[in-house]
Amino acid sequence: MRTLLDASSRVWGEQHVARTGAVLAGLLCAAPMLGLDQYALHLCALVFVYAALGLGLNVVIGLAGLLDLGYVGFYAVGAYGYALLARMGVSFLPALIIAATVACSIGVVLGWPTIRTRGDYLALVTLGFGEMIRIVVRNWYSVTNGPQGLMNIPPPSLSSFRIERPLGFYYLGLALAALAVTVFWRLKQSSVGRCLAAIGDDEDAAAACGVAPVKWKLYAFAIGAGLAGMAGVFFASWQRFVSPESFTLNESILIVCIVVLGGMGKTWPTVAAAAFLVLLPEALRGLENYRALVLGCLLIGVVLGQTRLARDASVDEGKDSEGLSIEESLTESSESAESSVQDTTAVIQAPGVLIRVANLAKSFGGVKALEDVSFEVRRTEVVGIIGSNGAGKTTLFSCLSGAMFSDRGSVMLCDGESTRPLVRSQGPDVRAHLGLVRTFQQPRVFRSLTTLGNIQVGALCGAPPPIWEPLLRRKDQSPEQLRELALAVGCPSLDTLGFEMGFLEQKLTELARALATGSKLLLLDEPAAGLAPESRHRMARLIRKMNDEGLTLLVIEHDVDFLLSICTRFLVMQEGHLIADGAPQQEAVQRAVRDTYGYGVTHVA
Amino acid sequence: MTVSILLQQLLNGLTLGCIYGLIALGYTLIFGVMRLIFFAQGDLCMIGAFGAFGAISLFPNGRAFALPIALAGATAAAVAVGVLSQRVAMRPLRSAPRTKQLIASIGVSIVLQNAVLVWVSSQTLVFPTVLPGANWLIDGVTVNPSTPFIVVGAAILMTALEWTLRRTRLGLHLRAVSESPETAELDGISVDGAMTWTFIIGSILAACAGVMLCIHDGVAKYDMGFLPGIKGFTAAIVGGFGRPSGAMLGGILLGIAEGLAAGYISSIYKDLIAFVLLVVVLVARPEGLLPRVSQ
Repeated sequence: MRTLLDASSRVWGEQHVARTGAVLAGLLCAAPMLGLDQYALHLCALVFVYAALGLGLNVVIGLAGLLDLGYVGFYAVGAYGYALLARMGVSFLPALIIAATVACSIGVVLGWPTIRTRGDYLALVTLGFGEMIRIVVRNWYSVTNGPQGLMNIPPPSLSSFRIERPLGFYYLGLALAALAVTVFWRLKQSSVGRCLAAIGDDEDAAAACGVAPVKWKLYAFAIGAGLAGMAGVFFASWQRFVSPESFTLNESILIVCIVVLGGMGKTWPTVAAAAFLVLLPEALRGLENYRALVLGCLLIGVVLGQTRLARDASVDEGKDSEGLSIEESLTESSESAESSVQDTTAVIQAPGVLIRVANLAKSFGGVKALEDVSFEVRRTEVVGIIGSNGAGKTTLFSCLSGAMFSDRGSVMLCDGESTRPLVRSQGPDVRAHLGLVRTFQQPRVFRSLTTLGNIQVGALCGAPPPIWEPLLRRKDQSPEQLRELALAVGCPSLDTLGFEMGFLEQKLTELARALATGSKLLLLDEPAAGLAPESRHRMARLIRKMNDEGLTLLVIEHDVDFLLSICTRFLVMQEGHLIADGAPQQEAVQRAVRDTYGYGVTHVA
Repeated sequence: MTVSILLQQLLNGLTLGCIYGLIALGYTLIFGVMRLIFFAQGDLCMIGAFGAFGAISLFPNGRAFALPIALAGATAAAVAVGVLSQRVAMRPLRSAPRTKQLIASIGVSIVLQNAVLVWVSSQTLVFPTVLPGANWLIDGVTVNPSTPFIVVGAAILMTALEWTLRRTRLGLHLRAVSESPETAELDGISVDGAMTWTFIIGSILAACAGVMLCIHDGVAKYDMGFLPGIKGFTAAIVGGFGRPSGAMLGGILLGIAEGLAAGYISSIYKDLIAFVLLVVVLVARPEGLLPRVSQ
């Protein structure tokens, strides 16, 4: 099964998009010379429209992971927009630009409030919006002429050249599809595309390394809406008639079907799926009624099939990760990392408080997860946090990183001379930009990105790509530096996809990603949990090395020995309270650790 | 006069709202136990309606028992289809991402609608009268005999559901699976079994809602389930997903809002109310309008 997946990914290899595209475009340009009849030209144009719609929606679903069931609404806006503008005498190109911009803006306006809702809720909100657009179009007689629709829409004209024959629409449609392929492919290749993929894979993890989820989701929404608007313009100018019946929920579902069948985030398969689903009813001619039925079965079948494939793949991967040699990943470790604890004590004298937490409190219902927690962390300190399960350690991290908001208390981040409190509106992405970056207890890598891709997303923190970035032909910035980072951390390979990674590889990738953000204070949540003893030593060496290079760390861990090898100060938590704070040798800390785990910090005494 | 118009609209809203509430109960139950949105809940109503239709035409002489026959036919059809679609489409996706589950259940919805369209009828069928009696006129307010049937029926079903969930062994199992399928499985509860039972109960609710819809509107059509399905979903959201009492309240609230909109604004935009409410509630208060109960 795995080889099948590999083979198919090679055949549809996204790296050959440009070459395949050029060949395909050449063939399609020449195709009409072979004597396609009017009907074939008509079908081709239809395929082009749906290819454009499928790719547009794939930006939203496949790249950004937002299930949009109201996509056809933007198609309708484009179609009606052109119909109205053209009947007012606006010529084709300006009308195209205006209609696409309007669709784009409506995408942003509708997206702004909705995008905060998650997953399946978003799907139903967008479904609601799609239906709202249709109901308004159906009933707004003075503008849209209600259910009868608008007729006699002028055909497209470029100065004196008018497109009226099917051949003209064939080429216009081809241009539209080519535009969609280009936009989609450029977007995928760009840093923006990586941001979208990161959000689609794991929104919380993306925010934790500095990707602003709302901004990029809106961006995907706007691009998708713009492409749908253009497709709508083409459709209206081609059919010369628009009515609400062309924009029903079934149409949205057909486009979702194209994306699902073609595959999330895939370029050519989406085009192929569009062709298949448009031509299918032609093959089933005489059985028109069965079209939707077949579509529904296909939708179920494809989802079931993909789920089974994914399950088989992950079973294979389980086998693979067994074989991952830890030895191998250990060899990279640089000798300088073998620094002793004394070095760490030396830097601890470096003055300056980096973060000051005062009276932090957080409760869930009746459970007080944090109660009056206050402490400071100085620059280049490594502080260990100890406490039994449910002591509030992870909640503390969530409050620091902005994933949750504390009920009371404050967190001050000292940046150079200025000290400013972190406020509620600063979510995880903003805090990551300020230098507060966390990892997760269960490693959360971006499943659809490679090791290097994961690290590249981290590296975008602090310098998010401009929104026009996909338009520029620019090579990836500083991959060399990031490669070195990955090597230093010990990632065994740069181009393993996230979902193929074993546990250790996920942990290392997540760590490398967090380091790439250029954070000032790294919050590590149980970095050694679940690792074999050799890997723990390696992780400890890594942390010491990062610290030597000037990074401040706050580390949650249950393994006291592990913490002893990296930290010079312990915070011990119990039921939301901070019960001890100081060097591990101190009497109070020893007592607190003994209370927590039943054994003391014997090795130091 | 105006008071009677208001009362009339409130009564109409309450009646429709109870039907929405029943559909919402199905959504909420399946979501509450299995954490999946089964989009085809409205289409199960439609299947129920056609099942009732079939049962009545099978027993043309049973006029006196028309209502029980209709309910039995509806339940049989909806449960069969509900369990089948659960087995084929939803069970293999139990631990798949929710978007996939949603897409698959949309697929189920399309298949159900079009199977009926192709193999049963594409026409609007007039539903036979199963409830005897004429309208009552009380203080200028017309009360259709369907109104007490729907309101009382919804109350009975709602109580029965609460009782099942709170007082029976099955309910205990369902609640355990809802809290944590893994733990429940370790304790010897079959999660697949719980899923089947959830769909059986959800289908029964949908079947009853389907019969009520037919009695209320007097017609049945292959796409009759779509709008009530969306509205039932809205009601479940308004009431806070996963809470049975909230679902019923949400349904009644939505029904009344629609009734008032139809009476005072315009009946054309009546259907818009549900969508606006859906969007506003999901965006502003995704946990539902009712205050959160602390555990």
